[in-house]
Amino acid sequence: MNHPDELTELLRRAGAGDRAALDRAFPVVYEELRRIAHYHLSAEATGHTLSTTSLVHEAYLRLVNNSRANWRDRSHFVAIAATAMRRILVDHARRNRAAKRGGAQTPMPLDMADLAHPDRAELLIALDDALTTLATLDERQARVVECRFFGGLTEEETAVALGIGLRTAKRDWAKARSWLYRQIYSSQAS
Amino acid sequence: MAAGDDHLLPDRDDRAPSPDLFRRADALFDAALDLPTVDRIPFIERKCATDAELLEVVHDLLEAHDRAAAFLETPAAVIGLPLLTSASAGSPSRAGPFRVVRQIGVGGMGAVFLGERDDGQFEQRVALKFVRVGEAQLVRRFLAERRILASLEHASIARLVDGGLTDSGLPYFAMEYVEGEPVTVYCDRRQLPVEDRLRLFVDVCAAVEFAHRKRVVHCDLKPGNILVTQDGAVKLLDFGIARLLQVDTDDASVMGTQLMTPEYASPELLRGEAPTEATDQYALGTLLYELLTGRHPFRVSGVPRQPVDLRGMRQSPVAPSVLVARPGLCRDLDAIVLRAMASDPTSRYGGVSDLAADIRRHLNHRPGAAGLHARATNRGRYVAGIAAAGALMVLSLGTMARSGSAVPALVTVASVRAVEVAAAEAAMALPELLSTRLAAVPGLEVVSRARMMELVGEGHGELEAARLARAGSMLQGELFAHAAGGYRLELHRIDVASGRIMATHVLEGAEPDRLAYEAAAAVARALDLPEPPAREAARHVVAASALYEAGLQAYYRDADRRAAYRLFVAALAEDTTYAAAAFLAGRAATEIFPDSVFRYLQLAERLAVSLADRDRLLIAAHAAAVFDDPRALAVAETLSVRYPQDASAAFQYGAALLARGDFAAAGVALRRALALDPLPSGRGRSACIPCDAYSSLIRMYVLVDSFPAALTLARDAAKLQPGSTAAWQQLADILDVLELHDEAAGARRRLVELRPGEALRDVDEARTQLRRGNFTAADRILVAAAGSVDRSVAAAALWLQVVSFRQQGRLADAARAAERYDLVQMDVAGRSAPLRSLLKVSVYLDAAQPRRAVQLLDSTFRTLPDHGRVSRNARDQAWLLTLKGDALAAAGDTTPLPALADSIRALGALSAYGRDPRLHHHVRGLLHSARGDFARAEAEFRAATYSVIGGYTRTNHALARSLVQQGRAAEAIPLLQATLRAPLDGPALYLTRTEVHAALAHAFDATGQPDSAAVHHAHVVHAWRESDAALQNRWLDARRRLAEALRRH
Repeated sequence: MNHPDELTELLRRAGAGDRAALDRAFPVVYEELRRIAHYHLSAEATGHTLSTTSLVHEAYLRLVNNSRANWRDRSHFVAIAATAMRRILVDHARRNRAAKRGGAQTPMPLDMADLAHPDRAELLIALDDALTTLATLDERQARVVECRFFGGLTEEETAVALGIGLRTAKRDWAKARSWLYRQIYSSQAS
Repeated sequence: MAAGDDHLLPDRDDRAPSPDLFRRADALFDAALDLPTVDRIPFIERKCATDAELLEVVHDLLEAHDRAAAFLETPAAVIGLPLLTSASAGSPSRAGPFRVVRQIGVGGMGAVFLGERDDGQFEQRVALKFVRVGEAQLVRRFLAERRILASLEHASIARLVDGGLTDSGLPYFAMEYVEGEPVTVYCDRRQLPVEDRLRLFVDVCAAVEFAHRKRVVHCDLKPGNILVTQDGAVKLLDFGIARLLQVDTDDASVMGTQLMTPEYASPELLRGEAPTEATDQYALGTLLYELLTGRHPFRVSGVPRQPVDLRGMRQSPVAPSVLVARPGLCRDLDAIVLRAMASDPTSRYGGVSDLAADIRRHLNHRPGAAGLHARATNRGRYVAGIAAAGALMVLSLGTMARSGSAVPALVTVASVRAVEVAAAEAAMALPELLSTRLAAVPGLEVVSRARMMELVGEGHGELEAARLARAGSMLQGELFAHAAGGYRLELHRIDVASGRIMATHVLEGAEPDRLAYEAAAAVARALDLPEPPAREAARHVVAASALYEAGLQAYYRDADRRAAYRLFVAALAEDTTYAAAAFLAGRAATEIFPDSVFRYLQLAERLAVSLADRDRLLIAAHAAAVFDDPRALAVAETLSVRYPQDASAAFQYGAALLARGDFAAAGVALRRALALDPLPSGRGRSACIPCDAYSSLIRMYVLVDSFPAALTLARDAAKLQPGSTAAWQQLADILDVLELHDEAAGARRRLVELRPGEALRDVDEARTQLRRGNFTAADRILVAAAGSVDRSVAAAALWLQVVSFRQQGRLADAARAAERYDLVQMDVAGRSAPLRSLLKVSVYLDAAQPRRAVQLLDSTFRTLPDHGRVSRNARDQAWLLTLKGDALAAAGDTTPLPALADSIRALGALSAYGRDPRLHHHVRGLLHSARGDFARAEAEFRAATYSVIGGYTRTNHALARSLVQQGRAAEAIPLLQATLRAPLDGPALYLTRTEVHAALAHAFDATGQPDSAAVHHAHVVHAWRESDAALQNRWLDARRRLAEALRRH
């Protein structure tokens, strides 16, 4: 699927709750994000720290026909990209850890040592687990966290992206953070 | 996902509640959060008296809630990439006696690392090179380099220290670690004079000469491989693709050709011939050129092994002294450089030693040594002469293209196709990179990528799309990936009219961005245009995107337009070709500098060099519109003619026509915009062309007094944008005018839903009451709102209070409210001062104190910033002078009016807003009225009318009066009725609604329609029931006429 309008249309339908449209849009967004991330990493070995927001932004520009899409489409896109970003980040964090633990032949690249904070990777993995658990208990709360934390959306954007009220978005965010905090830190303490 | 890692995870599910427990805990937690913090714990303890498990969970959650305030608040955006970048692996941690410290660079053969000896013997820092095992050729090259280095013991060549295999079996070697900077950087940073540069160059020559004596050709001489240390010592690095003459096998030489840096490669090398000492000499000549001029002579990429037409790629460069003027740079040096760079290897010096000798001679005999080496000089002069002529020709062509005598060429980048999978990512990035680079070429315009994608997205073929975009040339490319890394781009320039390939540029490079730059430069050269400005790569680009990124955060997340503007402009300063930054800087500027016309227009003009044609025109049109710049219409028209399928273009054109007052044409253009892009977004914010087109069309119908048509559209617009406060506001206002009060109330309720807690809601309500003549209700609301601590609310309330008191003829109260407004707004920058005096002047005129009004106008006029031809300031001045004309006429002083009209005319002409260039007619009309020439007055007042609804309402009033005076009262009535439909607190402020009712009553009386007159007399009687003494007589008169009319019934 290369046609920008097609994705725009899928985004619109996904935004309206069409699960099949979401399932078709997700891999496109995921692949694009990964590709861009990879591109930036290979082309610019200058220690340039791109943020996920700019990756998402770039993916959006590439995938969506900007002149046809509107603000709402962008929110749907970012909501999907948030999920994709979560997967990319967590996959990498896990791979890193696996490399570190079992990795006799592949220690961390030396010039990256100060950039990649191992605790962060650890936290990311813990968060992912806790979020997966939370999704089985309250999917909406988990989606709010994806949008806000992984997608970098504001409360208002999250509300629009998920089609919920602003108050709900705020309350879900507060509650979900408490659940995740409890889940992650109490288990670490034990 | 890495499911296999799961066994590594600590068991975290021990505290995950059952769905049932979660549901109950979530509900209780939710309810607790509604309570004040101190009540929460007692509340849950009460609720969980019998359920200890639930209590514990919710207790934990509340505790977590208090602690988790900052938890996850920083989005992954900030953490993201460092995690991604750590994913690659594969470099060893030590090599022999050396510990690997960090990566310090990337060579043609792989990464280079800093190593430290840690076997306790002695301290030593080295540069470590490894080779990827498994690639036989690479290993062979690697071993060759080691062998070569071992043979080169020279003070100016980085020494081989050690070599061997790492524990894991990787071949490595260690070289002397050189702390220094590239020779060009070294010279430029210290701003060395020509003489010092030449001395360093001689040192470089000595090292190369030494290698040549050992039968070693470096093959990759370039500034990055020639470092200068702190104490000024030259060190030659990277013999990675060096070639041992007469020893190496063919495959190695081919490989070397592939890996070398094309910018310093000689023509014979580009043709695929074997490297020789003359090859190095050519590179040294190029380096010397760069050292002397600060610029690379060509900036081109070449191609080996391909039967490519090399014409144009390696002509003689422009002589250095022709290119730049610099003390010590003379014809002698031109001759030396150009000889070393001769295309034909046999025309160069016999060896590098001869080149160095010539420079040494120059240094010794400077400056008059020309005659001492006649051979080189004569030859050189000849070459330099030709080169100079060539340079002049190129320059004059470039100037022509830039000066506007020739229209800039419009090109478009269609696509870059990846021939191999490995090239796919770069191929995707290239069209955008290339467009940006091309846009920086002076004399070249580029169709924006968005536009091109739009057209292709509509199903047009690329050539057809290019034709629709009005491009003259289209670029289409194919990208190949080299097995050893790097790409080859074959870029075709296609004539859009004929569809024929006019030229093919073949370029090589490792990085897509670099490749795009080279390609843009090649296209520019082929079109006889100057090359795009080379941006100093890495540092600037990185800094620019970091600033851009921060700007995005400020703009979208924090909604801090000022911070965003500063960041975008800073990004632009780092990288002037950053189109996205330029665009957003422009957008932010319109939002935060409503008065700084100059800044914005300057910015828009600066964008000319960095933006694609359509985007640039769009920004310019937008800017001109925001500032009522008279250029608005011309720019918007250009835009719509060039991009007839573009909704934004049609909208800008329509909006400009609307502002100018060409309503019929505006309607056509705006409807066209809607036809091209019919669906507004729900929120009615951000950039939404159909939203703006709807709003402008509705405004157009209002301005031509077609409220029913406006209503139909406004209802559609509100239905299509149920979340847009602007759309509902517009609908409510129109419903008010048409006195459809119930529906208006519904629309206003919707507004309240959309902005709960909106501070200005009460003021809106007061405005509604005022429009219905409910003065008591309006005043009650306004008194409360005027005391608000929120300054914007207080100011809006006070403004409306002035309007209300004026309508009621309570002029002393109005003056007091105007004073209070003055105090509240005193320190507000921008246009506040003229607005404040406007409010008071209106009250003085109502109170029949025209002299006082003149005084205030004069003193306000003196405080206005005099920005000369800036439209905003000119507008303010024109308006103040027009009001002064009214005041003078009211005072019976007509002598200054002709001169005043001339000044107003000059000022008004600087505005694109249709009302302003017509103002002087109003003052002329006043003059004729005063002289009793009502026919000529009528003509002037009609010429002054932009729109009866959206114009200067004093003009309507004066026109009506001139009609009544000519015995044509019947014609005055519809005019005055329309005036009542004008908005309340905008232009209608000039004349109160009560005055309009009084005039209408008078006109109806004059046409013998006492019943209709009575309706308006009643309005006046009601409004002025508590009016000041100044209006008492008029109020009594109105009451008498009303009583008469009622008696007749």
